[in-house]
Amino acid sequence: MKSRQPSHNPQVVHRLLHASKLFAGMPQEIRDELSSQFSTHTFTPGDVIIRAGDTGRSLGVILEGQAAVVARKEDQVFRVATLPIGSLFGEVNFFDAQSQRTADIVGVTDGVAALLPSQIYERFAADGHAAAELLEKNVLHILAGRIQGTNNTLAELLQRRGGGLLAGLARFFRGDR
Amino acid sequence: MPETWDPAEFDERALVLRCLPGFERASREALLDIAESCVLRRFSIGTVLVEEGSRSGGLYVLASGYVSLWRGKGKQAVCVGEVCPGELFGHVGAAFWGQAELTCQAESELCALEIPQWRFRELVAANEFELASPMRAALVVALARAVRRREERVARLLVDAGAGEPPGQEPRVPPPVLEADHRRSPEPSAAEPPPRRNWR
Repeated sequence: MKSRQPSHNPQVVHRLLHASKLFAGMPQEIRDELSSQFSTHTFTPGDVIIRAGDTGRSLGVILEGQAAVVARKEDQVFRVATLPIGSLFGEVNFFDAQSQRTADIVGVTDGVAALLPSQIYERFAADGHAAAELLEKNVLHILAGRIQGTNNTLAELLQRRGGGLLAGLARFFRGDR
Repeated sequence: MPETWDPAEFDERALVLRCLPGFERASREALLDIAESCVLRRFSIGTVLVEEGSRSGGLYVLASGYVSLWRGKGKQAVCVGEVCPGELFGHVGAAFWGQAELTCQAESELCALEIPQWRFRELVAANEFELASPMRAALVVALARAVRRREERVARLLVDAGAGEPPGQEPRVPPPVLEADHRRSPEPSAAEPPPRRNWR
């Protein structure tokens, strides 16, 4: 394992974190306290930020660049989702100590990810710190928005399977635009 | 705050709740408080527990059996997912966007713990951390797993249609794992959905 050193000065990292939805609606002092607990890591295309099967428990945010969720099933390796700036990853394991990572998070471009170890959240939670509550609420709202979009896309694909939509998407992803 | 739990001290409702991720750290008092407002219900195969678009309906923890999740009506209806025992489902949207996103239907005889909508809304929004935090954590895990499963299905459908995005540059071997606290070697996904019939 190779852990990389932060490439950004703390002020830039804090600014990027504060701009993410994860910090939405938080009072300034909580933003400052919470963001100081994140560690930052640079990645390049092909770097594995989180590996499927690991039991590590950090909540990640993409601060710069782009990563992808890559799943492996049987012989297939495919990109499940793209994670642009501001995207979260690692939510399940962060809140559920019994889970394992179910997919790789892999760098697509050069970028920076910030990771918050679950122990920090658990410490805040044990102390009844408002940061824990605000973090939970913001993660919930981010996921609630994401599942609506995913439900719509999946239902549309299934309803039109074999029809024009998949063919259109196929053309789009092949670049025949 | 490790506590010694004697299952005999709790009714079934608390025991079902305690299976949810997040609830393992709930105190005995919090667990009993939440369980008090819940009802354990049995449903026969084919029962619609929550209908898409409805504003009523509770949140459920599946104790036994299987539930399928549908979008659309009639011939346009498609199955977008399913629920396994120990998972949260139902009117998850109650706290966010009012109406139910999906129809939840019993695929077998089943037993589920119903958390009434008013209680669920109260818990998600509550500032009483000890009560609300386990509920929010359970909901985060349920939503995140559902997102992942459905994103995987979308990706597979696109791959099958020749439209899948390439995974990007293949991870280098050995890949540098940036997260510091990984401890176990890769094992099969724990979020694998169970085998199903009548899959569209």
